[in-house]
Amino acid sequence: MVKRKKYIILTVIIVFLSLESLGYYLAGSSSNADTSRANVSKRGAATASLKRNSAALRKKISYLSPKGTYIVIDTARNRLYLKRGGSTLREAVISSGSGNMLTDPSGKRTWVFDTPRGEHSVKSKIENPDWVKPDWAFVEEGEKIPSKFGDRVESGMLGEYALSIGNGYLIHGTLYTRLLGRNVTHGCVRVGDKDLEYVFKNTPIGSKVIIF
Amino acid sequence: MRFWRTVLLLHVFFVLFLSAEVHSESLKSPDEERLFLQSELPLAQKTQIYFILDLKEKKIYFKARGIVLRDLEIRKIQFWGSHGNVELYTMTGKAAFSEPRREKIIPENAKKDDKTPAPPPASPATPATVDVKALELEDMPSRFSLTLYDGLFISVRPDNKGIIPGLYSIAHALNWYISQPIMTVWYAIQNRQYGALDLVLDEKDARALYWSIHEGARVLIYNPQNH
Repeated sequence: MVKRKKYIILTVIIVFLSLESLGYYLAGSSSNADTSRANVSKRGAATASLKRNSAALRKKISYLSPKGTYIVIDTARNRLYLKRGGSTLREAVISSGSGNMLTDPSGKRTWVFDTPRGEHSVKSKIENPDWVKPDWAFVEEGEKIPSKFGDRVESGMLGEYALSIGNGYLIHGTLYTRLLGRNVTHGCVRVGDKDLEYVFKNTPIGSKVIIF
Repeated sequence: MRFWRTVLLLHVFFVLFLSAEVHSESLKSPDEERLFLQSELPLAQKTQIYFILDLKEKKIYFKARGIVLRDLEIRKIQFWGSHGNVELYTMTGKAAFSEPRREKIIPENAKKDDKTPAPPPASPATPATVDVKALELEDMPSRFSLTLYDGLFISVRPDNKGIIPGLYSIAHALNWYISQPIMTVWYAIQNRQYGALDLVLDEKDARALYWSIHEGARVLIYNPQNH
């Protein structure tokens, strides 16, 4: 009985180790078999030509980088960087999207309050902007959505300046400066007064805005 | 006695076999560089953020239009499998034990029966330490896995010190060396490639990676060594 038990244990160990060994073998040997992908050194081109190719590719990539002044927004750290080339002209603490969700009472519409990631551009610049309250602002406050445009307009909420990046998203000022550095907005980017003034005055329309 | 001697011999054989099979291969840089830049160019031509895992420099780069938006240092790397030195992937999923969930805003009229006007979302005097209901970096997991199209799995762990993280690391290492060969066999049976990457990052950096990387994101991996 004991002997049989030992044989079972031994068989299990052998099967297990065989599987493990096969796995290690496959992981090692397939990289050798896959030479077309892994062993690029076998491509016959000369080193000098390769270096020329690389330089040309690097140049092509560098041409794609934003020209002039551009804005980079880090939503994780809530930071805005005004940049030109490789240098940072200004770093500002911001508030970006909360990531919260809101569904209207009918259940037909849902809004997700994220700051949109990816590449955008400054579409327009506005001094003393008014806030045209979107539907979600009324839904969130439990109010009826007004039919008149004038009932949506609210002054003094967005600070002295705003830069539009399209689809209703703005880089604007805030009354809630103590919440800078936190993710509290409905998707817009809130910036402190002094930083916003600098960004507004130094960012031309058309400048790239990269959000990640 | 004889039985245990056989088991011991099997183990010795197994370890020797492994050490013979695991090897590294370094490649010449001009080739690699050209291939790498060739792979990056179409990514830089698009408006999306893309990610570069440079396992040689031990860095993760968040990039757009060829410019580095942020870089994270990789503290430790383990690579398993047969993938090439420069490979472009699409992220198909990320998973964590406790995934962050979006808060659902309850409209004011649903919250209250009375008709008193709702207070503003936050007053100017609210301290910065206020508990805001939002998804923030601290809510992101620091231990998670990423699945990339074409059979590459990335596990990300924080570089925490202490007894419990230490024990976890030991368990992870055991799991890694035991499960990876079996996964390789399983994928080989299905005639698919299998690779795994284990990254150890600073805790905040791990959270930042989870925050920024999303499904559909393009990930370029530069891995000069293959097992």
